[in-house]
Amino acid sequence: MKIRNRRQRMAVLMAVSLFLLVLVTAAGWAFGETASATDFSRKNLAPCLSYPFGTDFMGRDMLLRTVAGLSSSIRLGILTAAVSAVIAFILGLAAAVLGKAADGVISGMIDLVMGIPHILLLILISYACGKGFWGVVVGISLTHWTSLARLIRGEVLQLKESNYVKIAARLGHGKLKVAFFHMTPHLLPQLVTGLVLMFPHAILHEASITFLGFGLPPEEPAIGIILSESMKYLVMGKWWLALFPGLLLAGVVLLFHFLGEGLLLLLDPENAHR
Amino acid sequence: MILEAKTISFRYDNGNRQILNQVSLSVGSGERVGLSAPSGFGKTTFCKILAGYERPDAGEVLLDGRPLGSYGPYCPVQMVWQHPELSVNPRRRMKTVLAEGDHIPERVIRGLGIEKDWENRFPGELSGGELQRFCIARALGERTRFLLADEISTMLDLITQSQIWNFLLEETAARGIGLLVVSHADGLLKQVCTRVERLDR
Repeated sequence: MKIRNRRQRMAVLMAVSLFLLVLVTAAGWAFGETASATDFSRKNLAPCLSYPFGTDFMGRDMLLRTVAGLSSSIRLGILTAAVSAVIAFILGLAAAVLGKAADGVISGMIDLVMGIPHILLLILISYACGKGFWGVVVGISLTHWTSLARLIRGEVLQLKESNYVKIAARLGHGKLKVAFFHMTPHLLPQLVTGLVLMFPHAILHEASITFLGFGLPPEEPAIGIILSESMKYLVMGKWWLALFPGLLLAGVVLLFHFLGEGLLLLLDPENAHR
Repeated sequence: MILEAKTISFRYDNGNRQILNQVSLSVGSGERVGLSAPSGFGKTTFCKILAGYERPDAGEVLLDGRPLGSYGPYCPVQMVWQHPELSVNPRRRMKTVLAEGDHIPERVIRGLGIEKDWENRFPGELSGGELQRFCIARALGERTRFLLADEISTMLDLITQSQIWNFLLEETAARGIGLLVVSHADGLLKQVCTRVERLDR
């Protein structure tokens, strides 16, 4: 295929970064077992040819552990970001479209959730759901939709006042149709940005509640666990325990950011003919 | 059919000035009524009330003796706004504007001089005059009985103006659509309308 314009180049680059993310996720899934294999004959090895990322205090291969950790972080990040974005989208739209009573209830819910400290609510929900992967997913999803919902509600209120929405109503189009055809194209960029910004947030929260003992079990190779474990060993000069996982985590976040930016570019009609 | 405005009074929630005070007007099918008044006298507001965008504080709008609100989801009184660039969604292609209307015949689209390749563009890629043709076409759906033209041709050059008005006169006459033309340009009103009303404060 010949690349003719900026949009197509962007699409190709996005496909490549998507492929990388999928690769990491799949690899982590496949090597999950080997990643937690301990071998005390190879404790605390600095990076070398056979162990490019070194090994840790229990002789686990850090390369495999990092990939497995990234994989579970990506899965968790995508899941929570998607769930909370969907909640935010539906509630934000409903608050603005359904009328005053619904708006009052939903705005109240937003204020309520926002009023309680994140981490507290997160711990409670995660604990109530039995901790583990799903506890963390439910906990983060239920605490992170608020700011995006508020953003979308504001945007919809503004769109409701625009001439073309009023005209559509006089042309006999129902509220749902108007919401879908007229409002969604304006909300998608907000939603995509919100989703991308939610991703690093979700991973960091996962790490923090895991650190506090209310999240993933410690034997699971999550980036949050790897990083908090490595803290103890950093002062002993074992730099590789934190450096590579940290760098790769930053890399994954950047890839997601790039995907989000690319989507924004493709979705904006300003750029339709670039 | 006859569209009647009966002693309509209106003031906006935010402002304290009375915009319309006991205004009455009636337009019959096939009639072309001009409406002229200086700026700020509530011409656009009056159109918005007639087309059901706003509710009057007092008075009522009747279509064949029935309140306008009792007509189905599609309002038989359609208004074309003064600012076409605000009347179309900037994020949707122009063909969706035509699809929004009520089965717009191909004859109307061609008659207004809309070119095929404009339909695939976004609003930002067309001029105001080109956008306005889409807005006029959208308002000329099958169930439209009255058309309110609120300064629809102010942004157009004279040749385009005459093209559009010639088409509109032909189309409304053929379909028996009543026309209310709002404009500052008395020459235009004299040329186009069967009678001209002035809006007083």
